[in-house]
Amino acid sequence: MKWLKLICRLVLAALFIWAAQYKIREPDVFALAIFRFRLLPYSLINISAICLPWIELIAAVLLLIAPKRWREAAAAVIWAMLLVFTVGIGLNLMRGADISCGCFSGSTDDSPISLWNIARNMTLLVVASIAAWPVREVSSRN
Amino acid sequence: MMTWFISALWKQAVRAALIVVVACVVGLSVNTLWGGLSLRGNWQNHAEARAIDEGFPLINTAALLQQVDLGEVQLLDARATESFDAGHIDGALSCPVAQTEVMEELLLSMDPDFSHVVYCAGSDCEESVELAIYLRDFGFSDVKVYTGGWAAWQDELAGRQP
Repeated sequence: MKWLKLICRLVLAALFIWAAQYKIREPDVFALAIFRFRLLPYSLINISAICLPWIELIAAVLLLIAPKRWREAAAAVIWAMLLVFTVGIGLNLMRGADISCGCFSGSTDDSPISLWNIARNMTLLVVASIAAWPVREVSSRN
Repeated sequence: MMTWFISALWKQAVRAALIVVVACVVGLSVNTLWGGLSLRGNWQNHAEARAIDEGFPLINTAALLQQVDLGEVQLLDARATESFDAGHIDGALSCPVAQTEVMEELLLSMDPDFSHVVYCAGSDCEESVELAIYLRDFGFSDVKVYTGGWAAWQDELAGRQP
């Protein structure tokens, strides 16, 4: 379990640091990606574009360097974000929106969202669940 | 065991909330210091927002390229004639929304059942949506808005240069 959790943490950290970097460098492009999902009121789009990448980045860094309980909390944050992203993609798939995911790149001409995005996020949700699962420490007695 | 697990989940939720709050504070501070995005933005006037609010489907560069190659659409350039003459998408017709007579003459000569894609300078211009509204009023049934416009098309062409 320990090694499995470590691998899950490393995978999530790498992915979310990668995902956060373009969003921090190009917040206007990420804001447009959020806008295209058409799930938030206009007044919350820019604030989300400013805050979300930093939540991703800080949670990802904590996955690598924080003490155990904080690592699990960071994984829980990522789990919650993945859930929100997956619901967003699902809703837009249902209404047939021809938009790109905006997950790792801001190009408007990326492939449009598809069931592949849902499958990928579901897999990552499992990975995040493993990383976030609180494990009780057994105290050793001499 | 169950009590411990619920307690652990509760503490995890509190820690997670703290991480989110700290990250938001960092993000907002960096944005303020670096002069990034305005907090509210002006999305209600964005070309895409207007197009969607008016009920027009959008088309991106990749899909447009495909349809242009197949000859499935007629492109209409909503910019002023001078801008059109300075450069436009191959095969597009000039349909300047600001020059009502020129525009209406052209619309009357076209097949309203064919697919049409309208565009203007880029994502911040408004002529494409205005032209789309005219087209709908003239009975055109299949009108899409290419919100990337001439700017995105030029980027696409630049990306194809060897």
